Amino acid sequence: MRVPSAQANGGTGMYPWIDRGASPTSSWYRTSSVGTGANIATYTCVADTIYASYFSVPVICTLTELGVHVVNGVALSSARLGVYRTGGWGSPYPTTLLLDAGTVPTTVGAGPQFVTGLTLRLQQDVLYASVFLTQSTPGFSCGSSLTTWNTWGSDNTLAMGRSCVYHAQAWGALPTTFPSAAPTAVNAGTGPSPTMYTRYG
Amino acid sequence: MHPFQPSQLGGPCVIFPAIQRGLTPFSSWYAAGSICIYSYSTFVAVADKMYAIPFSTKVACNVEGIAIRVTVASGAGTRCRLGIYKCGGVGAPYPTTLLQDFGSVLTDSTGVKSITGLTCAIQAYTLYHAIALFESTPTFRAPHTEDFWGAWGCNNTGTGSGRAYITADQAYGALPANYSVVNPACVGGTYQPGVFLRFT
Repeated sequence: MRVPSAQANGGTGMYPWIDRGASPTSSWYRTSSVGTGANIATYTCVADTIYASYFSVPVICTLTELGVHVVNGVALSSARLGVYRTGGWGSPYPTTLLLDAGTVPTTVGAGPQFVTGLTLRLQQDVLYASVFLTQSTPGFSCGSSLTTWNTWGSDNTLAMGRSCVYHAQAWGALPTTFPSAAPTAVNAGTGPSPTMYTRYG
Repeated sequence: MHPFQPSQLGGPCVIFPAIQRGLTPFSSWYAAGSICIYSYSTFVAVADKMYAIPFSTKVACNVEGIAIRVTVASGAGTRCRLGIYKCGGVGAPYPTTLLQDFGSVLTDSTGVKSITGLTCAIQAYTLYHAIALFESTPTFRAPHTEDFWGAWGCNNTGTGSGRAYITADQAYGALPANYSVVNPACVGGTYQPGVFLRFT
């Protein structure tokens, strides 16, 4: 099989290939995910917090849908979804806002919630950060540590890996620049790490 | 199957696709060979044994630090020698020549044992091996095997674990200019030796 250049470069770091479009299979890709392990777990969010997890694509394509899967909802609450640029493969912290995709409900029984009809053009082999901003404390179905990419390595204790970063952020529109003061990385241990779901066209 | 398998992708491998270069906003230590964030346990070292764990990066950078975390100390004054070897490439991943010998850390007490402030240039999309050579038998931090890149495939039983690193006999001391090939073994198991790297 002849592989595209990005794949020949060892993949883009996350998705070595993607299925664009909804046929023949409707493929959703979990951000920061590198395996097919079945250990989906529930991550309980903190309110007024913006969480960032990572993705990249091996071909130029369009991000058409972006979502979260609510398994523990909170009445009258929502999450705001979006995408940020990052500093790149050698500096993965999120930087400037590319897309504020709007809100989805995170209420009891909400289940999978997606923003559809997106037209965000993605460049091949570029590192992006998907984000959700919480209004409350829902629980999302997320990737387990077993399948989540080791973006941030371990802290100085060499105790556990870290995949995602988060920062306090008042509920509302996504800021044009990802907050930088005193960010926190999720020390996942064996538990879940905040992730989202994407689809491409 | 992990997506970074070079045989699958037909090209150079990348074990750490994204790395944090520099010490801010976090001081990030990356376990050689590790691609996920799965749980850590412990691993008992064998004396006079050199452990080689492969790693590569998507960007050119500098190895600024190398570390292990000792969880059960070995005898007074015993050490672990740390370094990096080049290798023959993704089609010949065996370690070859010494890139840099960083020196030793004591393993006679528990805790993180690191050497920092290093200057060791790493090329992008190039396979290297992080090396730990033990003088004694300390126990140290070890990421789970399911977290690791299956650099050495499986054995021929069809039932064994994937193998992430290799070992060879080597008397404790300065790292040899060429990697030892005495009693080499590809090793699998529940946990793999944790040699951590920091980049700038």
